Amino acid sequence: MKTKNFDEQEIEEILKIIEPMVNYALLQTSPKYREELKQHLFEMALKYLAKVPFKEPKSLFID
Amino acid sequence: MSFHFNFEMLNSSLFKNFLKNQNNNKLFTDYLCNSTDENKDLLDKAFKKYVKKAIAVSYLKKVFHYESRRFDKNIRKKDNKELLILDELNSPIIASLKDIEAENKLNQIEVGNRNGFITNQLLGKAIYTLSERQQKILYLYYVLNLSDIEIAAIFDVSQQAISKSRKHIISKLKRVYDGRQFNEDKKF
Repeated sequence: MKTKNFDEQEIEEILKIIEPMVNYALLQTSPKYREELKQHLFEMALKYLAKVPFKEPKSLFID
Repeated sequence: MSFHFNFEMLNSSLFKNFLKNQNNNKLFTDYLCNSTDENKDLLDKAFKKYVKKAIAVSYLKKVFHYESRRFDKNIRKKDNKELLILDELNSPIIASLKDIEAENKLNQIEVGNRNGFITNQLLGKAIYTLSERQQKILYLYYVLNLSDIEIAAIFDVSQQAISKSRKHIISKLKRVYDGRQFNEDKKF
């Protein structure tokens, strides 16, 4: 999955980082709907990582 | 060739966290030991990637919080809209169940021996001049001690209607009772 912002490996890394956040967010709804919410949040994250363009961060150096 | 660091970034917590990663730390050390263009690019590229990742994670963290709340709200809304028929308090089925309950109560009254509650023979006879419905109202009010509101719920009418009927029944009973008593007195 090639994106403007992140390559596949980076996306995987980000997904690993956000997994505990997703699990925490699942507590917001009843257990019946947690699987559905989990899928929804991951889909949303993937969409965001793939489509939303990022502003170039500031450089560590002054040109 | 030496480059100038952007101290704003260098002193940021982002950069400190960036260095916690072994590979990033190595890139930084490499650059400090050997400040070539290549090392500078490698370090800068890795740092920019790290910042982008941090921004994405921080944004997603906030989004997850709000999105999970929104999701739960929508689910609850949907659940309320699509209640099972028996979950709805005012559904026709529940209403019919109530009617069945009321019907059962009325049937019980039918089965119950109303005569057992009437000790006065004249009054008993007067009561038998009343309609079935009027007798039931009297039974519910005076024997079962139900309120007008409860009786109204059984007959599915207003409380005022029951109150009015009851007054009417009493006056009718009085008329009949007085008349019969008068006739009984005349016999003697």
